[in-house]
Amino acid sequence: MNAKNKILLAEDDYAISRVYAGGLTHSGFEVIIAINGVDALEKIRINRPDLVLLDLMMPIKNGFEVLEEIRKDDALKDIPVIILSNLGQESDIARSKELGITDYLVKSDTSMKHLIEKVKSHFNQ
Amino acid sequence: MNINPRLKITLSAITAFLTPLGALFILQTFFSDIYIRNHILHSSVMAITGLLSFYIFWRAYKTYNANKGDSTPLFLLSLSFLTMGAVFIFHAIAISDIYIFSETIFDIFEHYGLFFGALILLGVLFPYNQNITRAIYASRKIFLFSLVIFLAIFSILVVFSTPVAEFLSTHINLAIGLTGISFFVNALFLLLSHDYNRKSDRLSFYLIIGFLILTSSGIVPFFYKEWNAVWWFSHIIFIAGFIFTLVELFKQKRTEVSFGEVFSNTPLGAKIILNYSVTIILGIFILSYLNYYSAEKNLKNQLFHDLALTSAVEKENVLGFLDYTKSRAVDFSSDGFIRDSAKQIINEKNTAEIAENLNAHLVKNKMSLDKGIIGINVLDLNGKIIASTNIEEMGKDESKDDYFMQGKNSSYGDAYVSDVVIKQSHFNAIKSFFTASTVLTDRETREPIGIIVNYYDATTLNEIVSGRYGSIIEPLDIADKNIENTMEIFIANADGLMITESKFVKNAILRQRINTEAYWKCKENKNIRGIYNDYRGVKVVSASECLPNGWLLVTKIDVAEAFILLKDIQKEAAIFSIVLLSLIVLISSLLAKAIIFPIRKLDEAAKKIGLGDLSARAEVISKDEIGSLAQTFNGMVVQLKQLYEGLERKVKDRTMELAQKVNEVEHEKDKLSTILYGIGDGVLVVNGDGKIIIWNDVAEKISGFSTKEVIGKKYNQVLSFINEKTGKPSNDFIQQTITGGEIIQMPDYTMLIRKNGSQIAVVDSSAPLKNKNGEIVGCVMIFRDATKERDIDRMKTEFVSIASHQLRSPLTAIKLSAEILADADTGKLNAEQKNYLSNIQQSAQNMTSLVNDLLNISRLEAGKIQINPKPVNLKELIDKVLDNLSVISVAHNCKISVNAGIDLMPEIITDPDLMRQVIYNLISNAIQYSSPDGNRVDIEINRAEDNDHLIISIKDAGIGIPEEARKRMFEKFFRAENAIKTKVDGTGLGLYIVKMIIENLGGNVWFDSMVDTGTTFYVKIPTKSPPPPAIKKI
Repeated sequence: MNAKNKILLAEDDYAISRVYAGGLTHSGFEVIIAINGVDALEKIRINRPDLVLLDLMMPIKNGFEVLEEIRKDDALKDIPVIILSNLGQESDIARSKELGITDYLVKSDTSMKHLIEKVKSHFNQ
Repeated sequence: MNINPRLKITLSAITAFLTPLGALFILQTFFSDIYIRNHILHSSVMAITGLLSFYIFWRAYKTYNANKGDSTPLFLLSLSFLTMGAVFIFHAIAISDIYIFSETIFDIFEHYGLFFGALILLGVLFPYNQNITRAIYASRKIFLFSLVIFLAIFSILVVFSTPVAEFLSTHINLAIGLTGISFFVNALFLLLSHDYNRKSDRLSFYLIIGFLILTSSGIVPFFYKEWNAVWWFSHIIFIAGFIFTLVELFKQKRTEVSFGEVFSNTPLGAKIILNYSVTIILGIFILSYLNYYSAEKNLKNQLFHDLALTSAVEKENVLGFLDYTKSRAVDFSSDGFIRDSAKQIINEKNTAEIAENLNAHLVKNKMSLDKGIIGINVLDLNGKIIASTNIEEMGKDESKDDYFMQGKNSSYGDAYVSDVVIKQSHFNAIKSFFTASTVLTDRETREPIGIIVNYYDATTLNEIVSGRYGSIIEPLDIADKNIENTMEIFIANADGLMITESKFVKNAILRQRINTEAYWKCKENKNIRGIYNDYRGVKVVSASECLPNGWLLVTKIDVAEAFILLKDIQKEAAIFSIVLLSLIVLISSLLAKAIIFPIRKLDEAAKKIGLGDLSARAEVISKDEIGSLAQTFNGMVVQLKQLYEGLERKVKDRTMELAQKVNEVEHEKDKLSTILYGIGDGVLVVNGDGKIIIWNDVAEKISGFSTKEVIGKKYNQVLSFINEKTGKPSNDFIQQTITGGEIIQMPDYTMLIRKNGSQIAVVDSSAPLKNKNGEIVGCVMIFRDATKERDIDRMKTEFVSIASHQLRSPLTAIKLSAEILADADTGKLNAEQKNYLSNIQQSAQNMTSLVNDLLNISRLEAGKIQINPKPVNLKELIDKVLDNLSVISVAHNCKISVNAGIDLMPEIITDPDLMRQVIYNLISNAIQYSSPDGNRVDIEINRAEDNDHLIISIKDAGIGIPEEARKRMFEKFFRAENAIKTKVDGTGLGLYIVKMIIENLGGNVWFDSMVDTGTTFYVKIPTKSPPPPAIKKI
């Protein structure tokens, strides 16, 4: 492993973002936290993360909007995105999948360990 | 001018019948004594008639042929006229002056010819059917030939067979009468069956006239005497009749001839009249004829008898007279003075004085004795007159005379009577005379010395035969004084010369020769009684007597006079016949009317009924068959009426019922339309062609299209549905309903494009309309404005999302934090701390489950389960679920086996997410409610027997479900007692969700359980998810 894989975590809930960030950092990933959609886009453009963990319900700009903009932006469109949301409805999942995502995880059903495994498997670790 | 054809024809017919008869009577009265004896005229007339007749034959036969024999009556007409033509031509050459045959034969030809003709015509009345008509046409030439042969044989028989001729002649009146009747019947039939409205029946009309004229030919012959005006009149009648017959035939050419089936056309009444008339007339005629015939025969016999008697008496008179003349001669010869004087004159020389005395003696004493004696001569044996009552006779030599010779040879006491002679040499007589001579003998020696001759005036014979001579027997007065007019008794001598004066010819004596049958018979010494032509050529009834001296005595009367009585009888019979005929026709028409009247009444009633007047009744009161028929008929009508009325009532009832039903239907319809139009939803009905037939107000309101605009249009020309989310047209469901015949709910998110282009959210369904045979004839669709619903739904969804998010986020934070703490990444925890942290983790997990379940239920109950069928590998799906459940399975120390024939297990088509949830809930239950000892869960997947379903069984060795709880296991928030007692925190929603999902996926779920032993849950799901995407069955 030459450099730490950069993960952008877009999560408006402070408590959750801190727990996730803690777990992921502990597992050896570089984690950048964005607290809303606009912040997330901005930080994605600046930091070019290797993976985006995207919450859907966020202030200012929600996750769908963020995802749409990423996919529209030629520079960003290849960045893999894993949705990490409490929205578990099929419609949401379907909509997300249409926009191109790597995985969809429902927060309440996903333990820390599970998340880390998912991220690791994404990076083939 | 339009004259009623019936009147016209009837009047013409009556005229045709009566005119000749009227003319006959006039002729009979004033002109019957006018005789026109002109053979040339007669022959010409007969020739013309014959030629006309032949022409009619030819014309009729030609027309018959031209029409392929469709009218047999026409053929008979031709045959009839052929017969009559032949007869008339034959008759035309019968010129009396050159009689080839006897006149009797010609009479036979004439009258029998007509009779045959009329008889053939009677065949017209026969009802010919098609077969007979055809057969006759086929053998027409045979018929024609046969007729000619018959006529030939008839002629030969008549000419050469006297008995036949005599027989026919005797009955000639029968032939005449039957001729008249035949023509009359024919005419009457034609008249009564005449179709007055057909122009082509003109032939029939002319034939009626012709035949009625010819009818007279059966009457007139009874009235005429040959050559008189009436006789000529009958010839005119023939021509007139024939001309009338010919007139229309002439016009017929090759066109139709319509006097066809006469009898079948004849009305019933006419048939009855004719039957009566013909039968009675024929009967009466034949009876009359027989009567007449016997009268004639009697009369003839009487006449013959009388004539014979007269002849016999006259013969006796004549013979007596001749005997008397003989006796006178003998008497004179015995006179002594004469004998002595004669002896002296013969023997002595000077005898002048003696002769004078003798002469005087003869005149004074002898001639005066007999007024018939015109002179007496005494002759010597040399034939020299030696004494005479007339001095000029003296000295004549009579030796060559017959009476001298015969007288000289006569024996004593006998005398010779000579024939009648006319000799001027005696007594200056120009009169005819005859002599009675006898021998004179010597008184002593009895030797003949001479003869004495008495000369008698021949007219004395006349006086004797006419009874004027004061003779012994008076002549018989025969019957009638009229008869005496032509009655004649005459005597002819052996040479056939009359020796008495003729009543008809002057100076007939020894001049008028008779050359009759009587004379010839007398030559054979036979007497005759018969009818023959006398010396005048007139037909006479006669009786003759041959006298011993060769003389012939004939008594005769002209036939015309002798049978004048018969003529009278004939006339009377003819007149009587006409009166009788009229009477019969009258009576039979009354009778026919009496018979026909009820039938006509019946007919009228039947016609009325036929026209629908069931109140009509046959008014027949007679009790005969017709009466009974009428009664039956009336009964039938009553029944018919009842039946009809019953029927009518039934029809009325049915109509009322129908009307009621229609009303009901109308009412229903009203009700229906009230419902339809009053319903709060939009209703539209399309027929099988997809054309809109019903469009209610709400539909109008929702869509913006008015009823007028849409009715009759195809639904897809008006309605345009799109999917709210995709914007794609979504009109298919109506067509699917029509073709598929199933009730289909509108897809979610369906928007209707309104008339103004705006979109409106609509929901509801379409259902097929089926007729009673189950055929789809259209579709009814109900839709309503779903804008508010959709708004509420959207809000609810948003609320649920937000709520779940808001609830989950803190829970997630708690769970994650607790997890990190538990993992001791942040420092070791003591046992007590760990215990509390575990409580936190457990509660957070329960909370999460609860939130998840509530979220699911809210969605399921809202009917918002969206099924997205995909190929799903159940084994993989179960493995994934087990992977997710690995935490609790490890926690419960539970061994899980999955037994599935993977190779046999195809991918099934179902919704993977829903399926996962089901499997998840069931396996997690199985794990959690396992008993702590034997923790084991066995999962099996099997194909159902029907091959279309899979059965998943999940077997645990857990606490089991108590019996009392089993029924309620799938209820919301229900938990069994023993479950509650366990440490497992459940929401009581898991099985409820399972059942809901499984049923939505077209499967079902059930279980077997035993408390403390374990429970097995079975899920049966179709291998192919039946609901089409986004459309769900109600």
